Amino acid sequence: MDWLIRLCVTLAVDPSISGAAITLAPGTGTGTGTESGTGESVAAASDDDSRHVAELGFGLGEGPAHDSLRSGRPVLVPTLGGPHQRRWPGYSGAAADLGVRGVFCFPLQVGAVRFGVLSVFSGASAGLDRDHLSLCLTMAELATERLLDSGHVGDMVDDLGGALGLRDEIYQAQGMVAVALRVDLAEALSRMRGHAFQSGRSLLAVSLDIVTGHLRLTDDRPTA
Amino acid sequence: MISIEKLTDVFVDMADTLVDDYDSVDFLHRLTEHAALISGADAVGLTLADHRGQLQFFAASNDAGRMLELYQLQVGEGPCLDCYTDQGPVVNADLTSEAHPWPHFAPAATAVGFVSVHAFPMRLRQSVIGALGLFGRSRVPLAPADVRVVQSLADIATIAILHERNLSRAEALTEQLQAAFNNRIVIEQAKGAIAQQRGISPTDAFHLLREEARSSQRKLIDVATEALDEIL
Repeated sequence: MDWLIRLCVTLAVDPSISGAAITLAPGTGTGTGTESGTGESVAAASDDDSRHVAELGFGLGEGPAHDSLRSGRPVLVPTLGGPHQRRWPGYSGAAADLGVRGVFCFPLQVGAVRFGVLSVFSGASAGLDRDHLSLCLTMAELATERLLDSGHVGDMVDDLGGALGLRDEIYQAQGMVAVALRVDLAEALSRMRGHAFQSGRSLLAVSLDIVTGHLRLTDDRPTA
Repeated sequence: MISIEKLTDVFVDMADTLVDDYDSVDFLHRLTEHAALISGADAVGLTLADHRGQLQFFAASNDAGRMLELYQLQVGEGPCLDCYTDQGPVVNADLTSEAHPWPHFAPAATAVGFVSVHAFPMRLRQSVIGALGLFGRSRVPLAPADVRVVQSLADIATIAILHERNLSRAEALTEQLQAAFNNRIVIEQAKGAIAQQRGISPTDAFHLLREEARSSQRKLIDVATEALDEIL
């Protein structure tokens, strides 16, 4: 998990970001992401305060990260308080006590596969501009990549904007492999990537073969 | 020339949908079908910019529309990319003309029978968040009045993405776009799972999902999520 901590620390280097934390939800990462998440844990944080704020939300069972994980949507709150005070009465006050004014939560997910949430905190009520939002989303993608398949670190840079881009066949093949091999969606994508890696082909090429019926992945775990 | 009768039907249908708790993936898919119907285009595709500012395919009226959009994104040129970059419409472009500025896209599109193209920006204040592309197998030029109609469809597509959210927040667009992109992935995963389970094509699986969403009056994304839950 060192890698996730470095990611949080990297984000917090930016002056408009006071801290970041990654919460993992094992209950929602295994299947389709709709089960109610129990057993969330803060897997990484840039600093102790950020860890406390992240733990706070799941301890109380409310807050933006909690909502983001349930809904699978980013929940971006530039200013805690106001209407949000009523939405998360316990969380808003406690987070403010720790100096947090803005909270920006990004689900770590690929379609129905949900691993957890990246929470980014700011000490000012200024919101995040487009560049910062883009930076956070890119970091959330990197964390998702890492969590999806920690065995293929080398692929990561190539995959940015590639494997996790919107190519329908990859996700259709993922659904097909999950059913055919009776595994969850995260595992299905892992198997596909393993096969692509072993055969030296792109994930998209492998996916196209699966969707068109030219390739059936076998039940053996890839050894790569 | 766009028929007033068709146009009325389309706008009534879209207005009915927009008041409900609608699904932006389903809505934009239908919008591409409506755009094809009222403009007479043979294929319509819609692309949206992701957080890197790169256009991504989002919806199309048919497979041809999808391929024409994907091809533009792959070769990095075409009317929809120009429309996004220049923040203005591309109207009545002739793909067979020597003057076209797309040396890769134009020959590929004409090879599969398309000769004309229009692209309209999805405008949001000073920026453009995506493009609506209309492709024709014959030259049926859009009149100035038609141009306004199709542009208004592109504007409706923007509204559909933003829902009723406060448009002044930069964060609102990010929330909606990311949710829409991810919902699309969920639907593709469900298509694959259903196709595998029933031994049908992903396209047929999509029709099943849409039918189910309509007959039960639920969102496409909810039906897809539930299907994945049941199958896996």
